[in-house]
Amino acid sequence: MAATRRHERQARAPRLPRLRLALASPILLGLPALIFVGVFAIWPLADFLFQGVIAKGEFSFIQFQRLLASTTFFIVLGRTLLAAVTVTAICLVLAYPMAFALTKARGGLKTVLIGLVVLPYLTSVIVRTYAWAALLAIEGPVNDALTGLGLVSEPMLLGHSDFGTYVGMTHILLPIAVLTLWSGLEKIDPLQRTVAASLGASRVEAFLTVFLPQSAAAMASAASLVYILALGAYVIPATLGGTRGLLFAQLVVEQATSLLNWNLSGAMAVVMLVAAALPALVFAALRKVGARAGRGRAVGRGQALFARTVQPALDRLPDALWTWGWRIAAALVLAFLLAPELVVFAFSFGPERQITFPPAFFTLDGYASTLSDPSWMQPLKRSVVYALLDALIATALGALAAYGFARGKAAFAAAATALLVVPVVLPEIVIAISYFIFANRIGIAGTAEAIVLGQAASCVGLVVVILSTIVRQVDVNIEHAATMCGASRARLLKEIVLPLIAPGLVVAFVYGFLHAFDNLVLPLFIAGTNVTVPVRMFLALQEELTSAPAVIASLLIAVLVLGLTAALTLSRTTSLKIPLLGGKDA
Amino acid sequence: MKTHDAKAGWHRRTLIRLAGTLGLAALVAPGVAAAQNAVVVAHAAGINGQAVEAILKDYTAETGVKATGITMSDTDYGAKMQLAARTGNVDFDVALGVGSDVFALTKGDGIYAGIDTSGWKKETLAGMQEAKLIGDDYAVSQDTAALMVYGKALADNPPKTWGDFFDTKKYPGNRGMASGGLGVPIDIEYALIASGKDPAKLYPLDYDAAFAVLDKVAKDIVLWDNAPKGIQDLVNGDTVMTWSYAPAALSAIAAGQDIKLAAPPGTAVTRQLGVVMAKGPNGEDAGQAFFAWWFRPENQKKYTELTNYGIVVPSQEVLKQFSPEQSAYMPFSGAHPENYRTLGYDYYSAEGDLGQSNLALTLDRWNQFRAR
Repeated sequence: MAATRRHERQARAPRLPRLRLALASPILLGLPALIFVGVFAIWPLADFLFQGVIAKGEFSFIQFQRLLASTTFFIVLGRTLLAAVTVTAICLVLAYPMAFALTKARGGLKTVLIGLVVLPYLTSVIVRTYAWAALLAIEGPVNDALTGLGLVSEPMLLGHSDFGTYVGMTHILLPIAVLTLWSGLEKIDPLQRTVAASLGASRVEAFLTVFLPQSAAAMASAASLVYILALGAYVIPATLGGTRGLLFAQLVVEQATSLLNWNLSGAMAVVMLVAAALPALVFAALRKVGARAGRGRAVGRGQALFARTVQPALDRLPDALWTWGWRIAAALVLAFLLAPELVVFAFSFGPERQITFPPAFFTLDGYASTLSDPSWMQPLKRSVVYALLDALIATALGALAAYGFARGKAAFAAAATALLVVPVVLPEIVIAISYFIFANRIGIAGTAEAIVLGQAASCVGLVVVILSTIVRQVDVNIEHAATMCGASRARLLKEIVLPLIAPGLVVAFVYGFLHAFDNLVLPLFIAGTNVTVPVRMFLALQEELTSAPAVIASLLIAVLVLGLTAALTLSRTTSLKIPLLGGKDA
Repeated sequence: MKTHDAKAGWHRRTLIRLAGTLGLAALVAPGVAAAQNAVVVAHAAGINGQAVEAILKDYTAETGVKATGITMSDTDYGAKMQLAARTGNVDFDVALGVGSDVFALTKGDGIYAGIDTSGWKKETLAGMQEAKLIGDDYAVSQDTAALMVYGKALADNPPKTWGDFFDTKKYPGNRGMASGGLGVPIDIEYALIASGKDPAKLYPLDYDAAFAVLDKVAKDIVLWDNAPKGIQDLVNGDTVMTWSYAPAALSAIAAGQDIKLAAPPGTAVTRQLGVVMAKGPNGEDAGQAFFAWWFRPENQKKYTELTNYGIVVPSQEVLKQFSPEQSAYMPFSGAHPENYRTLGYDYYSAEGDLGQSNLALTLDRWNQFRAR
């Protein structure tokens, strides 16, 4: 056994001179990324959370005592957990047929479908809330349809209710759920269902006992990500929620920005982190169950009960329903994702000083004035440059770290990766406030470098997750062969590893760019004179209705789709599989 | 030298500065030398910010001093000021639109300079002093009214009083109100006025009376996060009436939206914000010079016009420049002196029960209402 382990270690790290070994060690290669994210994300975060145990300059738990004594706190926390769980469940149900459709699609159709799924994910959240407000309005299309079909007797206040919050949050988070789920479903061998069928399993039985259990891990990953992001939702519940729909992130923001009580908001952020971590452990356990089931071990009692009761009824459904059911479901999911984008597009062609749907009249005035207005064009250029720099930093640091982690010990790689993705998976508002304090302390707030560094810190983890999988797909024996032929470590990296992972680097760069480009919350706090496009959109709608954000959003949709299509086409021309991951303030 | 030039070459400088910042040396706050012929002005967002930016261009054209604006949103203005105070890192010379609650929290930290009025015109200073708009280190830079606005559903039977606003029998349908921040005190004060309280004697707030009114109409309340969203709700038919900050309401009307202001406007509460001088990057003189120029009546007239008459410094020197029609919906115009009142910032900034400010207590009660 020990000999086997030794052999494995030798396989991972061939005999090299000490310096070369050090170069290849995960610690050294991952160190730049860890230091960077540590300084610009983890340290500020820890400092902010520490405020939660400080009162009048002294160590104290009084902030937590205040929280525990507040009935409002528990009610809002409970409501927030309920909202996060509900949105997670809705996202999983809607994401599954769409992700399944992606695994079935081939060639150009697949690229198009992925582009359509990602399209809303890359649109500014503030513009989309206005689109949903128009769709769900009492005099809006949804109410018109419901009353027209006789489903309700009179229009309902959908755009200011828990329903509105759930719809808006689902729309923001569904693309993430679809892509995460899809990356898992892609790994399931489709031949397994054919084999199950040849052994006498019905279509339903093959799906339920072979395919579904193997997708449990991907479902858990998607659920974890959606749940955490839903927990920190701020913009959507503030805009589409009802009078009684106060959620936790709103309380945190209120304490931090209106009342300037950072001690209490720090304590609240700690609560938020705990709330985020506990279900993640549950999902991790579920992932293990899914993995066991995938290896052919015991299937849960619940599944057996399902097989005895529901499955026979499902078996009796006509085959055509199964053949077309998931396609129709996927089409409806796409329609749900794209409907607000069409409204945004319509806004952009409406009167300049109105945001109404349908527009009172159609005009290109909004495009003419926005495109000739430096106060829009400068932020646009700025956002492009900052996002390019962010993508460059994140790709360089992330590639080194990903290579080091892939060739290093699994436990260290897992721990280090977890640390790097903290800024991606935590509520953006918490990261933004903590970085805001940090940037002011070191005197860089309001500068371009503050924005670039802060955004890059949240991109590094994203790049590492994408590249880790790609680097692991590179056969280590090729590296061994090159080493045995006398290649130095530097030459090995330059002439062997780099060309092999080049498509992955391009894809990681593109995702890093998009992630930074659409960042609203962090630059909102630290931008100063260097306003970026998402911030400009947010600020423009503070005191006046204007179609300019819709104009910019419509242009961005076109640009971002082009960029994404190029990246996906590139990845599709290789054998590399790209997992997708991302964060979004909801 | 720290500048805020956004012209050509800025991205190259960004790269260079970025490289510098990546070094550990950047973790030490850099020294900031005073710039010549430049001033940085912090201001609010939206139409207000656009108006300030336009006037900054005039300032540069007239004086040759490069004036740069920094836009702050309601979300981060107070927090940024507090951080500037705590860290001593002030990146602006003058801040417009600062709430006195924020000023009260931060004035002890030594980042503000006093106001030097020696370069002011006598008439301008006298007008400001007469209207009690200026102190040693704080002056009122804007009054913004919270106006009642109604949509086409009430075109035949428009609401007239704040009692009407909360009367769901006489005026069925949803009404829009602010969801958070300093909009909440306005929600509560209007509820108190609707309950029959004398507008001149609202403080200390009678929370029980206010929430009794709000509870009655809770299911008919639609909350907005920013004033334009409240206007969009009104246009979309989600509400039949709302209160809205004047710039958003007046801009929507000017843009042809099918909404109207309820009369009489003089019953509106106004939100009064101030201007402070900071010990900023360009030296105290840069801020003082801008400050004296900013309060000139002709510049204030332009500022008001650019905000569609939504924002005014309520000095007679400024107000007398407007026609009766323009003044009609300005509660601070003098047309409705009996009803002109501003939010009681002194009250909200003062410490109430449990060592919290009255604003914190008010928001806490509001959150309780929303959590029910």
